[in-house]
Amino acid sequence: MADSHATDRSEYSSIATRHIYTRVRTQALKGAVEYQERRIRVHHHLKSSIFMASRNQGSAPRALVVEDIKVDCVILMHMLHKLNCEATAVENGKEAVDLFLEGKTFDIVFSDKDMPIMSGPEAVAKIRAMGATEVKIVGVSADFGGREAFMQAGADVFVSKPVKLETLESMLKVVISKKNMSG
Amino acid sequence: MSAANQLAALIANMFATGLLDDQFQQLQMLQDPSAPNFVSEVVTLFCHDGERIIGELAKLLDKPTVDFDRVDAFVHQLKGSSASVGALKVKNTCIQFREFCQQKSKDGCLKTLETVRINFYELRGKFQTMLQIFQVGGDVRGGHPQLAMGPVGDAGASDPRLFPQEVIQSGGIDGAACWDDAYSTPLSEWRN
Repeated sequence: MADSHATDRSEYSSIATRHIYTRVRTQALKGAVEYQERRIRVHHHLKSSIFMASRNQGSAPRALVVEDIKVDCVILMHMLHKLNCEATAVENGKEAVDLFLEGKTFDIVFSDKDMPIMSGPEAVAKIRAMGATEVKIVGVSADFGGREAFMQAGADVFVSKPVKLETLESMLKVVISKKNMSG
Repeated sequence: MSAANQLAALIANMFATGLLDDQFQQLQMLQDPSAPNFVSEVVTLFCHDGERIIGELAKLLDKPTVDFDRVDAFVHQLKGSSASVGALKVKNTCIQFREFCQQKSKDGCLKTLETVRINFYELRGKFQTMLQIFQVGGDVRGGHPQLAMGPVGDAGASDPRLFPQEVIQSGGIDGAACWDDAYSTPLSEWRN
């Protein structure tokens, strides 16, 4: 009798476990589907809002990414393309300064802080010293001390890494609206 | 178990064991039909760069006189890329590593390098499994393996950081600060 009870309990436990697992798995899949649907809605919302803003302005915002870490650069560039920006990437502050010396213009610059050859704050100071006062410069760093260095150099704003997509979208909207106002 | 379920279970496990944080979900959000391989490309790049950096660190720490500035520069790179892909354990170990660099402690650096190596290769192994399942899932599901690459259950669905639309609609872009840390500059304080 005791053995039969033990067997029944064991079978019940096994069935219950399978049932719970199935329920958890079903909930997990349902959650994954809902998550995917929300992602698609967010994607369309972001693309349409920046697209409308830049269409009013007549051209896509031109962004310069100054970043030596490849992974960070790829992610930031992808985000900017997703937000309909024309984005250019360089690997250090000197290359960024060289672009400005060549007469290239940008609406917004995203610069990392610590880079070989020339750091972000140093490049920002040189770009401002050239008279490029209209371009919006965003200092980006994982170091909390980066804020002061960038702001002293002449950056407009500082954001800590990793940069979020909604943060970029907000910044680009400000840039685009200022461009629209200045004609 | 289908490829989608395997992928969901693997990613859930990586979150649960602290290998990944919500930054990885940010990457997943960036993947779309116009860039269907975005996550796998970033992950592959991270693994490649990480391996290179660990090799350079081993060489530098093997020298009789250690150039701690160069060591710190490499650790900074690994920390940065780890943070960008959501590699939480590796990132946290890099933070400790940098402290030993600043203290110029060779022993501390060597011990932490070993921890970084263990954490990195654990993560790389899981990423490689993820990519293999992703490829299989992609073939089987006609290009929509992303269905499996979301958070498990409802925990992720309620996280506002995963859904920029909710953040934007809550008033984050009309001049009020929308950054989620104390060090970024609010929009209202932009120059000009």
